[in-house]
Amino acid sequence: MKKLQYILLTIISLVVASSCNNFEELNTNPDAATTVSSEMLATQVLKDTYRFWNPNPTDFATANLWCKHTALTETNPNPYQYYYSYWPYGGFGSYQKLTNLKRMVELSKGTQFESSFKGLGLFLKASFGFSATLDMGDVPYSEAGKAEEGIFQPKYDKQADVFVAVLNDLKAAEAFFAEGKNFGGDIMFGGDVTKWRKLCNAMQLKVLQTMSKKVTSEQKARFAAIVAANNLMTGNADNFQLAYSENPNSTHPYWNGEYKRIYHAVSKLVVDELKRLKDRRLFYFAEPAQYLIDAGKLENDFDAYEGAPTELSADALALNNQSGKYSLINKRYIAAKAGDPMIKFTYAEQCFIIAEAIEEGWVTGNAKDYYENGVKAMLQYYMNLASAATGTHGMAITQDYIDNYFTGAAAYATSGTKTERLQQIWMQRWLIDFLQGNGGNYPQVLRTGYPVFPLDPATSMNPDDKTVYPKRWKYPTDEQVSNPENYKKAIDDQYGGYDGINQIPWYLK
Amino acid sequence: MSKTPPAIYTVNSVYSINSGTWGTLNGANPPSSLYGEGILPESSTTFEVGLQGMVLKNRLMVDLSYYDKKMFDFLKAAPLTPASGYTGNYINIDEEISRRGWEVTVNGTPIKNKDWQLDLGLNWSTFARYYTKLDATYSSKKPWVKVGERIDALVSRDFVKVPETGELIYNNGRLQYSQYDSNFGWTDPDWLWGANSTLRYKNLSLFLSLDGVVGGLMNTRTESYMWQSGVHPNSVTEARAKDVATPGSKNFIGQGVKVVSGAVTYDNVGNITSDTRVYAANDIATTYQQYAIDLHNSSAWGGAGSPADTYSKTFLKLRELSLTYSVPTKFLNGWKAKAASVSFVGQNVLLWAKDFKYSDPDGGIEDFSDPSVRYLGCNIKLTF
Repeated sequence: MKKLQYILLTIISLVVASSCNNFEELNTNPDAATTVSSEMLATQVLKDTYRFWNPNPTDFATANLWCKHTALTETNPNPYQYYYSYWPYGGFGSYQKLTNLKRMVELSKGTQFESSFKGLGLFLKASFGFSATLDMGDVPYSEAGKAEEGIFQPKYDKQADVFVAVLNDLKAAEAFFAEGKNFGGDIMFGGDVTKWRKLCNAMQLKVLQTMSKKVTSEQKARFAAIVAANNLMTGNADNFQLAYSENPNSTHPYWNGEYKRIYHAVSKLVVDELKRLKDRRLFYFAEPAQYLIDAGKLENDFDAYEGAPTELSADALALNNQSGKYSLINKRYIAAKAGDPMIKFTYAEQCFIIAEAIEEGWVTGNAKDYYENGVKAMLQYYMNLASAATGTHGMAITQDYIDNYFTGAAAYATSGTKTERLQQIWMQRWLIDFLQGNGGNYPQVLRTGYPVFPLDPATSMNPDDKTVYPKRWKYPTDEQVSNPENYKKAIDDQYGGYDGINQIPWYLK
Repeated sequence: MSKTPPAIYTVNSVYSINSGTWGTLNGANPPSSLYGEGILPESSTTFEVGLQGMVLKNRLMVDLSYYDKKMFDFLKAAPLTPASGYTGNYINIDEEISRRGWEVTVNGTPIKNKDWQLDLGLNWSTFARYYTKLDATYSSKKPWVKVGERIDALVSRDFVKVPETGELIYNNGRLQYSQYDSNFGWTDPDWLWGANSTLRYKNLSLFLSLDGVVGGLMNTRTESYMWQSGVHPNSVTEARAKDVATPGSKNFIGQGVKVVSGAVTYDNVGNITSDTRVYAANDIATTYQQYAIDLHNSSAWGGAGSPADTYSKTFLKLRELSLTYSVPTKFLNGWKAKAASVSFVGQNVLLWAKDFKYSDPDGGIEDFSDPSVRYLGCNIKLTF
């Protein structure tokens, strides 16, 4: 009997011991993945970065208000049209993806794609830093994404340092792509490293020009060297863009958005400018105003179009829209599941960046050629767009039209003033982002002051000062809990302790 | 002392896979939280003293108790700034919360004889939850989060007001919300009560159960939506009629002031650091619709509600009413049944609430919820 007890005890202790050993195994979910491929991580991070944040017509319409390309005519004013936001904060959500990028590179170690994924990781990190600093000012960069190394509260780098670090990372990314092989999982360029290389170079030009008020002579020289090396985008085929498809997970956000489109007008700023330039993009962007059609105007007539003043009060806009006073968004935008791709960075923008730099004397060259190449590229882009094959009101853009575009107001003001020429460049650059949902290029408008966005203090919803343009977004409120000391230091150093949207970050001073 | 270990797999560090994330491509994300070593189960210790007395041959029972439940080692994905690469760090935080309360129960049988019996039960309780320790890093930094303070703040955004007088400040004729959170009071009720009674006469018995809460704040989404959509009975006003009569006209002037000049700045938590504002009476009209939308601004998709829709939870409910007839056994002989009864039952029969007129505060949250169900029915019970 005693013996039996001992045997039993031994069995029990063995069972206990072995179940302890198995704990890890038992407590690991067999249905969850403990490892994945670099390509899957790349797809996810590219999608989360470049896809429109919440693809539905309502949010898409809102996103196209900020840069004054369009106006909403609903009675309840949308703050985004009136220089404020339902959510006046920037965010560091993109930096969370640094962990994703780290895993992506680690998992590609030793494969032939390692260098390409390193390049992609650095390019995206630089893009996150660039957007974050333009949104808010000083932001974490050198210590960002290092929780695994024990840095839970990364310090905020000075904006000037962020710009420098972003430029270095873009340069390093270019070098990695140069050694890399075409890779999988890439929804932007289909894994073509030559296109990624060109983009890394062109992005450096953009970053340098964005800090034009603060740029050093070495940085100007760097700009000139990149232009001279000439490994840059050469046409629309190099455009950095996200193409939508018929697949339900990747349709255009405005598809099926008729319920929103009937309240969504093209802005007066866009319509007046396109009329002035006799630019047929007007017929691609807009529907004619109903009251002008009723008055006998034809849809292929520039005079049948009228834009909505974005600064007008919402109820006045609503009333006017009810009587058909405005040109609404072209119906073709809601008709196609795939629709127009979302342009993030184009050959045309690169042309305008260089044209401006030539005018400013950063680099030598013929600004007129760059201006014309940029405009032509955008016109060709619309000419060749499958989703714009119909619905252009009988005014389709043709090669013949493009060849004769540069007359009158559209001709480069070679004999005019430098300011006139710069304004032509800036206006064309601003037109690129019409209804892209890509956030626009607001920092460029703040930097150049052109085009002049209409602002009426009586309708501005800016909570701190109705007479000025907001310059930034506030830091996310969570920072006050999760990174309080660095947050406080950042607003004390830059903004006298007040985290407001009209405070001026370094690059605009 | 009780311990609650984390549920199985919750502390696993795994990738999430999204099949068909874009076109035909699959995607994957690493975990958003870090999982540290040595995680302890969540724990609590309870201290309770009570007094129970039974008198009159157990016809009256009184029970009084006081408890203090201390909860600690909260397992939390402690928030990290996403700039660190993670949004949470799974650890046991140092915060400690104590729930203290009193409970009183009285049960009695004042009448009991061959034909009649009356049983009565009453209970009353009160409790509150307090912070007894804060985590230096991970506890909220809001000004109302302090050791010894209650944890159940109703946090919302107030209207912008003149600091000295409390007058509303209008902007182009419209109400404005503060950009900072305020604590409007406590959501836990002051006290809860319940009563039930059973009255039996021969084979017939009547059961009644009443309960309610007193105090505690809660937002009503339903009324907020009624105001915003213009179906609230009180939203039929003269100004609204004028707005409709002349489309495009604005006929509502909010009572308060407007800023003529000057500016104001705030610190992180919304305290004013400098203020040079000069005011004049508000004379800019808006539409009544706009005013109602601003005053009752809230959305079931998130964000704090409006203080205009913050109500007291106080209510009383006749939760159950039933009448039962037990069939005498002599009628059951032919049925081979041992017992039989017929009852008429009503649940949620009557509701009275102090503030809530269009929705049911019972449940603790009213987020545009469906109306509560009133149940009336009949039970026939046979026991073989």
